[in-house]
Amino acid sequence: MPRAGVWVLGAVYVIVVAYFVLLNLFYLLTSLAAFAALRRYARRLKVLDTEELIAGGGAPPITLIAPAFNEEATCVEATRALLTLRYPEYEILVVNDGSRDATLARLTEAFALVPAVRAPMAAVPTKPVRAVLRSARHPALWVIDKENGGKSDALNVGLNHCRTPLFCALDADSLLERDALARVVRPFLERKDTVAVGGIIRIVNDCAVEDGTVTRIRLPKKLLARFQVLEYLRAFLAGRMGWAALDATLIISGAFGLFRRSIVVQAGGFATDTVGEDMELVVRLHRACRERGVPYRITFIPDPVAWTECPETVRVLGRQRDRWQRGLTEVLTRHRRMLLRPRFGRIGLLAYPYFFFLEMLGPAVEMAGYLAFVVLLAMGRGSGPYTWALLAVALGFGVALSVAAVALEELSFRRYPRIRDVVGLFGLAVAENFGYRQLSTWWRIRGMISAMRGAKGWGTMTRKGFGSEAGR
Amino acid sequence: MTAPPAALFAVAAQAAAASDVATALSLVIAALVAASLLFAAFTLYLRARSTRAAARWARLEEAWTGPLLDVLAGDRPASDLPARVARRDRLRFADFLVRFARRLRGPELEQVGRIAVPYLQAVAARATAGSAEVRARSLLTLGLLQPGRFGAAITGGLDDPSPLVAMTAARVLARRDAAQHVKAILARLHRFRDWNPGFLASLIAGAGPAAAPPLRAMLADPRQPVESRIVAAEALRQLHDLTAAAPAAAIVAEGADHDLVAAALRLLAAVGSGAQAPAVREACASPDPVVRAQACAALGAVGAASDEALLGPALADPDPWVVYHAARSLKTIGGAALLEAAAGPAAGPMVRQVLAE
Repeated sequence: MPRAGVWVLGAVYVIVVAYFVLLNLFYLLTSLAAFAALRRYARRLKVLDTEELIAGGGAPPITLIAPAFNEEATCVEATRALLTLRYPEYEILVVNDGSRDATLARLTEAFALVPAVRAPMAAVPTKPVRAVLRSARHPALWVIDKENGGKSDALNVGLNHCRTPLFCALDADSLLERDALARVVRPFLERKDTVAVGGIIRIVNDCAVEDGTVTRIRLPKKLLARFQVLEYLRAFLAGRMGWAALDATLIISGAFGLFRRSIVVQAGGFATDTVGEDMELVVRLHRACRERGVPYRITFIPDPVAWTECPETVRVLGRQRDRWQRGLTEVLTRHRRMLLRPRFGRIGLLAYPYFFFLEMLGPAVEMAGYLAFVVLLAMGRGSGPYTWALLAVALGFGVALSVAAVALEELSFRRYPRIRDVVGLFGLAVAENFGYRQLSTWWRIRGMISAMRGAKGWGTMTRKGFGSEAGR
Repeated sequence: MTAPPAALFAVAAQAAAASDVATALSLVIAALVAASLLFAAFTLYLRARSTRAAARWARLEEAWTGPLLDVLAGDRPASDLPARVARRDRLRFADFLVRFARRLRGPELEQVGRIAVPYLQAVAARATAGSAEVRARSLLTLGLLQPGRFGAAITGGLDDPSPLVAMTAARVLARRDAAQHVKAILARLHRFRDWNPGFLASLIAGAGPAAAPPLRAMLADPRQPVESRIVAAEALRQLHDLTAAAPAAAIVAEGADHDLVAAALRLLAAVGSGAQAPAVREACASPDPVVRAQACAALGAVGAASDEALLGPALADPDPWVVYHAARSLKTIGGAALLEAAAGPAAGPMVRQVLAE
């Protein structure tokens, strides 16, 4: 082997090992923080009867903003579910983002929509609004029909028409649990400087849904969806809970987040030139508040639940992960001034470096590691005990952290009542390392490349609807 | 749960000291496998424990519900119940009564409170010991079942070092329509300064009319912190306290803090009269858009048709909230015709919206 090649392999080896050690140290840190925080949180929940807390009055009114683009399969049921939420005062704004299917027709028929007047209360630039409609049966339900401009543009239209101090950004197919709003508003009651709160997203595939309520929870039948259940548990209960415990929340899922309207309007609304608009907004809020010296709090809490349908085919999942990585890359490069800057506190010194070096660049490092392993194998040097031992350590960490995430779920919410589902999750913690994880890495690399090439667009997500297979 | 990482570190430390890298890696792998197995075992243990606890709780509930209903219906003496509660289940029985009592009001709630008395000393002991969550939960139990008997313990909770316990005590006390409790809460309002002012105001207003005098005193006292006076203004608005209009108008006339003035204007919109209109008119010219908006809203309640001269130009204000409140007030004081006339032929969407409301 040429000397240069040996150097390259050596450098890759060092980088991969450093990445691996750092990544797992962060995982360990967030998992431990999440463990302590979840235990405390579960105990607190017994004291804070959320419904009683808001029943006494003082719960601020909320506007739900649900952008819809070609959502004819799920929009009626998802909207119906929104109408049944237990919260004293809320409005629903479904923003039809120029759908080319029958989304608007379905909504009009199901909710008896009629033309109405609703003036904007803010002037965030958006594509033109074509019509404002209001339900003749449910006065709290409004549908705004606009020209297609993407999810962020639709959210901005909703933001402009929002008249309440808080708004909840949703995906049109998000299925909120009935008490989700009552729960997610709590940090706003407890801390007046709270500007944004994220809730947990859970996967609804193959769960039973009746009248917009998830009545039976079980693992999905398809393996690809099952892997995502485990991923979501890890991401939310170990990841976001851990980061929230460290007071360094950098992501609030676009599928379910509650924001203070005034501060988001002041910040200019959602960015329309990125597919990571949810993370971009949170990073921008951190940046704006820190730069202006405004006291603020952005956090995540694990008990308000939004259920969502996850992709069940490799093609659609690949597109989704490509988009997520693209969004992450766009956001982190855009706000790179925050990286390692003490003025941004834990965000600049802890969360941002983690997401920048380990989440954004991580897939490339991971893939380089796999390639180096293949090269070593091809050279006949890959069968050494060290190489296999390193792989085994990587596998071991992956399994241990995934099983720990299942333990966190059991410790806190126990949403999967069947013991076989819990045991199934253990099996998935091992199985995901053989193929699924590598596939994810590949999708994320594609996302990085797409971001570098300046690719735009969301791709399409095929939905089955909550009442079909999901309900059986 | 802390054992596996600790073991991991111990093994890693050993591994670092080992000269043989392969041995070190083997140790790390063994530790990771052990950690995974421990996490899995811990999960299954948690599941088994929670299943067992749920089953036990269901059995106890079943055993207690019938006799308790009999006691409430007068078919069985209350003295029958203690025999059915094992010593180790006393706190559980108190929890059971709390669940039950949450659905009750009036004499039935008082009866459950009397049944609970023998078990509440154990609960009271936990109100000053244990974790913050345990202390808070104990206060909730005492506050629901025997608020009078344990009033001192509950009031003492206001001074608990934990904000959670202090807030729980405030919530429990505010449920009782008694001025001395409101005074106790107001005296410690600084402890709740992080909380949402609207929520605090609702909590205090929940105490009922007895809360009004101390709230008015707080609102009128310029030595009180601005945040506290804002809470007082909002609580008085919720109580619809008509006598609060005068101090509110004084705050507006003084025009010190924008947030406080806006809160006072909101209060005037609910309880004000023509006597306060001059101060409100002054506020319509405030440089702060929130104050202008609230002043326009209040003018709809305290103003007259002649205020069209002030509200009409406000329809061209750059702030949409000012336009909205001005339009609504014009409609209130002079009907749709006055609003249409003030807006002119080129009425914007806000005016059309208010006309359609």
